[in-house]
Amino acid sequence: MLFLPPAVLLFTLFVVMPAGEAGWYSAFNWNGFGRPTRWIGLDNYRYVFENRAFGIALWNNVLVIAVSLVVQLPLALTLAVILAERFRGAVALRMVFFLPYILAEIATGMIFSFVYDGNYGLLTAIWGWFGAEGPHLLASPATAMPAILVVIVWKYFGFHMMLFIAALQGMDRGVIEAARIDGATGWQLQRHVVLPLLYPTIRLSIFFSVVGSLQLFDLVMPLTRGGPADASHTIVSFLYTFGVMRMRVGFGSAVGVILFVICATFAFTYKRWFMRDE
Amino acid sequence: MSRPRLDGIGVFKGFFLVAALLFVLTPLVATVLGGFKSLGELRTNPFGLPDVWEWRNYADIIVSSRYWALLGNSLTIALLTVVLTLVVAAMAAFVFAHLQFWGREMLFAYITTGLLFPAATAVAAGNSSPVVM
Repeated sequence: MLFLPPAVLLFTLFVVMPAGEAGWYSAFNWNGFGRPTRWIGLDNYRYVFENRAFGIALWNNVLVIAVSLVVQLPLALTLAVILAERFRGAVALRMVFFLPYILAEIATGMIFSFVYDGNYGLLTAIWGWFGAEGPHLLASPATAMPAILVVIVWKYFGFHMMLFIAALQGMDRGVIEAARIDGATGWQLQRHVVLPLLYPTIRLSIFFSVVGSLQLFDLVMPLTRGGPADASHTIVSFLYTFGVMRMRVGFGSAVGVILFVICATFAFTYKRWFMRDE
Repeated sequence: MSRPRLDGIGVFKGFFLVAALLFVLTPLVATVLGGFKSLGELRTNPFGLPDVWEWRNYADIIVSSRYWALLGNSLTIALLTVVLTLVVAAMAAFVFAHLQFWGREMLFAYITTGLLFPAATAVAAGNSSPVVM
C-alpha cells in the first residue's frame, strides 16, 4: 500500500491540478498576468463555439479520424499481412515502414514542408517532369488539410502495422492449420479466420488512432501553423494559436476543457462498448 | 519458410510493397541527401545525388557547442523521465497487481485518464509560458 502514494501524488500534482486550474481559469477573462479577477462565467465557452475557426478545427479532427480509419488502418493491415510472413527482407521492410513513427513530429513537419514547397520542393520537381508548374499545396486553404492528412498517414501507419504484425505472430498457428485442412483457401482464410482473430487488435488500433488524432498538434505547426485562413487547424493548434499565443488564457483553458470532455467521453464509451472483454 | 509464389497475388504483393516503400523512403532519402547539397543545388536539384558533396552542413552541426548543449538537455529529460517513471510506475503497478483494496478500480481509472491529455493542454493550463515551439 505504501508504494502507491508517490504515483498518485505526482499525478495529482502535475496532471489533475493543472487540469482543474484550467477549468477554473476558463471562467475568467484573463491574459495570464497577475491573478484572474474578471469573472465572466461561461462566456469563454460561448466565444469558443461562436468562433468560426473552432468549427473548422473540429471538422479537421473528424477528417483526421476518418482518414486514420479508412486509409491508414487498411494500409497498415495489408502491409502487416504481407510482412508477417517470413521471407528475405521482411524484417528490413518492417523497419523501414516503422521509421517515420520514430521521427520527431517537428522534424517530420520540416521534411514535408520541403517536400510540399511550391518553388523548390520534391513535389514541384515531379510536376516539372511533366512540364507543369508545381502546386503550392500548403498555401491554399483547399489543399492544406489534405496535404497534412497524407503526412499523418505517412507517419503513423507503421506503428499500426507493427501492432498488427505483433498480433499476427502471436496468433495460434493451430487454428490456421485447422482451417487450411478444412479446405479454406487463401482469401477465405484471411477473411474468416485471420481477420476475426485480429479484431481485438483492430479495436486497440482504432482507439489509438482516435485519441492520437484528437491530440494532433506538433505536426501541424511546422507545416501550416493552422493556416492559410485557419483552414488546417486542429483543436489543439486552435487552442495554442488563439489561447496561448494571444494571451487569452481563459479562452484557451475553455478549449482545453472542451477537448478533454471530448476525449474522456470517447474513451469511456469506447471502452464500455467495444473493449469490454479485454 | 515459405517463398512467396509468383502468381497474381505475389505480383500484387510486390507492387504494393514497392509502392509503399517509395512513399515512405522518398522524403527521407531526399532529406538525407539534401543535407549534403548547397542551398543553390537544393533548389535546382531536389532529387538525386549531390553534384558536389557538401560536408560542411553536417560538420558545422557536429562541432557547434549549441548542438551538444541541446543534446544534453534531451539526455537530461530522457534520463529523468525513465528513472522517475520506472520507479514510480513500477511501485504503483506492484500495488495494483498484488493488493485488493477498497477503491482500487477507481484509483486505477483515475491514473489512466492521464493518457488523454495532450501535452499542449498542459502548456495552456498552469502558466502561460509556451513550452512548445
